[in-house]
Amino acid sequence: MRRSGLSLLAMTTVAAGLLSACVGNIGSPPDDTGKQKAPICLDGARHPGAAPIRRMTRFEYENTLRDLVGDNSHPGASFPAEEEAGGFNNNAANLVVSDDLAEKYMLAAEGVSRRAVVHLDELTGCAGNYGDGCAATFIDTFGKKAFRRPLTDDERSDLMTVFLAGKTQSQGVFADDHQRDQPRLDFTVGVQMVIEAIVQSPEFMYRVEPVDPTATKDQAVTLDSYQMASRLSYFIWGSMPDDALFAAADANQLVTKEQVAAAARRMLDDPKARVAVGEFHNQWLGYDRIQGATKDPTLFPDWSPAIATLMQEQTRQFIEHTVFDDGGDLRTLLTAPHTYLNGELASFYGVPSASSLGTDFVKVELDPKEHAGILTEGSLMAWYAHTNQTSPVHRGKLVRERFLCDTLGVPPKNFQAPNVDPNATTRQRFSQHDKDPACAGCHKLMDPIGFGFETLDAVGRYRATENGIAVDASGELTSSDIDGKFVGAADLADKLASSHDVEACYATEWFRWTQGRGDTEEDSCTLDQVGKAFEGANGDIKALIVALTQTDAFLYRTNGELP
Amino acid sequence: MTKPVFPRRTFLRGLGGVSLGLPLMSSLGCSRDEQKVLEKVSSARQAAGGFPKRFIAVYTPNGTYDPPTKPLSGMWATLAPLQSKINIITGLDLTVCNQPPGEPHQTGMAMLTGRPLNPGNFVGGDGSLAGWGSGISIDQQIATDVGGMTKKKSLHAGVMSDRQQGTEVRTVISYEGSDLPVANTCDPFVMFSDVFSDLGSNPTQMARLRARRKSVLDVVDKRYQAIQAKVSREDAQKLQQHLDSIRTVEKNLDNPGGVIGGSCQKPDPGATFDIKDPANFAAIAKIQIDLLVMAFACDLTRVGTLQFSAATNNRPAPFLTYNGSPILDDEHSLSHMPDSMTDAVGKLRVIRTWYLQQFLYLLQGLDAVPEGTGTMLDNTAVLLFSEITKGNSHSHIDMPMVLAGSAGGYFKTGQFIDYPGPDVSHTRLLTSILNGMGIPSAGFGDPAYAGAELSELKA
Repeated sequence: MRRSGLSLLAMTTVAAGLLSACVGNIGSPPDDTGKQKAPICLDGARHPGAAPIRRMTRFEYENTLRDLVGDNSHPGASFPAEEEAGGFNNNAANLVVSDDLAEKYMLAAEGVSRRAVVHLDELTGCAGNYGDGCAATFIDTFGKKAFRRPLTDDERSDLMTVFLAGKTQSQGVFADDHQRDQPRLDFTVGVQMVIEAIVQSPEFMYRVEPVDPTATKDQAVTLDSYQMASRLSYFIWGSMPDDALFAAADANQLVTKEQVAAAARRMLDDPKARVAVGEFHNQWLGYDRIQGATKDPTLFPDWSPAIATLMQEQTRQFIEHTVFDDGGDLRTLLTAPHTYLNGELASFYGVPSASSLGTDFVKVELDPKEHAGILTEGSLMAWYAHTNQTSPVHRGKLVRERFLCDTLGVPPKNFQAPNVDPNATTRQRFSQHDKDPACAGCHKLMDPIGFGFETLDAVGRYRATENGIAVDASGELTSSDIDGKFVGAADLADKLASSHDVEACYATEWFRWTQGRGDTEEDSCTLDQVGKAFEGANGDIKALIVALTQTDAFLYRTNGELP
Repeated sequence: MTKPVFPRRTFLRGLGGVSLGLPLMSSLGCSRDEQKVLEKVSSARQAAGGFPKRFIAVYTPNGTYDPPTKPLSGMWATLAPLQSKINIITGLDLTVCNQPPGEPHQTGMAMLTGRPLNPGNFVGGDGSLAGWGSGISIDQQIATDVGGMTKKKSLHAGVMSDRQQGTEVRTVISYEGSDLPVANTCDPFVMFSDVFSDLGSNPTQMARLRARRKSVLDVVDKRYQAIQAKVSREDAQKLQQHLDSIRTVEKNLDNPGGVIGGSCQKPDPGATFDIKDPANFAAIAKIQIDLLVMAFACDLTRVGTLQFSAATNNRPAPFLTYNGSPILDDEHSLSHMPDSMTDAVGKLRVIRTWYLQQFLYLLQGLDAVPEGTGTMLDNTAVLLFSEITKGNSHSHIDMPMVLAGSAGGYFKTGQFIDYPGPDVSHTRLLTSILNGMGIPSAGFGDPAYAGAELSELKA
């Protein structure tokens, strides 16, 4: 069955007739007659969908403190991994603060404040004037940056209370300051405690979008310019607004669609966008997982954790340069016959030009038959493989889940991966899946895709033969809009790049990341609008990012009801 | 507390496939505070001589391959050196874990709650969806009582227990309440710093630090309340959960931070290393165990969990060898192999034996700390469990478990207890542990599966 019609939301369950546990898809359910209902968003009203309160992830926390106080020490490194949903760690509903995490927040805040006051005078502008008046000014200016909007009187007064408590508690003990300058010391501890309170406050930690008491519960309400500045900055930079965004918010110039789009375009030119766009792709594909990979040293003696780290950097650079420097479209991401390598990694892969490369990563053109875009990156091919052999299943599953937005179950009990047989190819060994009807239902959706990557071994290196037998990299796509046979990863990549489903899936994954939630039926018009903009821009990824700021979900908020 | 109704969520839950990002029904369970008072507390939390009672739950993944035998043989012979201080328990069923939603790995992970899982959006092995645990776990129930007296309410040490994807239902065993999972600290160096960095600091300085933290948290508390009044009901609930946790931190500020002396010494975790490299699994385990034992010895906490890896972990064990070669197959796949596959079973036995050695190392660490006429192990209850019986059956029937230590003489140890016949719920063991810790309980967990303590365990 094909996905067609109105963007992704019209997708129906793939391959009806298969085990329902095997594969599913996200979208509006068919009615009793199996037909799609018209999306509820076609009523002409605005449908922003849910806007659950967003708490900072570790990534956002560290970026924000970098921009707020210049802290590059990874202050969030002690926090546990975020609760994950659908592959993303920024799902608002799933994030939970345990007692342990609350304590870690407190300890981290103390570290942040200690480092921040090392440059006390730069931070506060109060050199030689360590009185309460200057503290009040500091609270006002710093507080506005940290809370991403002007403070209320209530907040000013709360923070002043903390400052005054700090002043009386210094006693020359806490500050990293050995000068016998009591007023400065008192002031320092007061400032530290203000920072500690701010960094643990909900106005810092969460993106607070209050209920409009004059509007109804289900009404789509607009955001004020400060709220919009935060939405933009956390989406495009994974961090707090910069001076220009604050200025635009002060002038209330983040109101119209055009103003928001213009801000988004400017922000994409800032280097911070490269980091945040990279983080989306890392969450989407998980290429940093390669750091945890183990390979059989008898088969791959030159594999090492250092190679894994280089592979992660390779993919990071490939994505960054693709989006920002090398064409910027999804097709390039999927099919580019080049990547970014340094000498050590190029030599690991056996790239002929390796000896001419140094320690820096540079763009390297590869044989287009051997390398085609993101999927052929070593970080993915080596992770989606076993310690001693490739895994067509996991590689096929990656394509199915992340590029076609299908959901597949995990294997039934008593399954067994085939033993490595020195006289057979991986493909021959995995053919059991075809023979066993219990396996075939799901595996025919995955393995025939995964076989296309057989020219890339378990560490992501090109191979023409396996155990002396020529590798057969022919494969087949089914239950997609690009059904058909193909040979090798380049051919597969080319098919994926021509697929409407893949384009829509990529846009949908971005939408989920942007909004910090899954898409629902209410979002179908938003997704349709984003999909059309992406298609109209010939798959330009930056255009997609701007389009994601132009939706009901981004520009509005469903009001909700006060407790 | 009222239970708001969210028709949209309920509707979406009915969709096929994954329903990304649905709120995990966070409002539909009862609140943490309600759950915390469900169990009445008592003052019998101390062993003879005034030594505190402690509890640790130890998790190992993907089932226990061989059932224990009497006398102990095979992998289970590993525990022989401390046989007189442990109880081997067989025949208990995780009946409640057979309830939907979720597949056996998912449901079994929440066995310490004695409750089924909430509905949610984690995809299980059979394609079904499940959310987090639906109630407080026994470690947190105990910590709610005794944890209020120590610097740390409880410690949750993970040994590569996080999946690369992040925290989810198969990576946590502990819950503060419904939909309130407690993620482990997987970095032993963070664990060291969180627990021990203050140990031995100047008492005056510590008193000032406490005062300072109180001033800061007082205002933070106010800020949460102020914002809660301005946001939607759902958002306010989210903030309330956060505030609950801040208040726990604040409350524990008043507790003593430990005194160096006797068995309490500041531990040295050694030089840092790559905690993501699977080859360092054993090194991480050793530090985490050493830190847990020392945190108990210094009375910095009285409750802990130790979690080795996670359900369906897909991790190789390159630090172990089978027939002279490192074990590079992933453990979860090995556990799925049929019994007829000699090599797979052989590798699995090596891994399972190693887990039991770690458990023994923990027990020996506790047993090396003298307390009165006995040892710290005598004043502790240590539970060893997995989420399923055996990887190639995924059964929840006849779960082998070990209860070590006598919880200050409450338990009779050195026994091999088998519960033949169906339907002796594992929740009864949880009830026993609560009673052993001095927290009277007639039944822990979901009332439909809760039962009285196991009389055979009582001294």
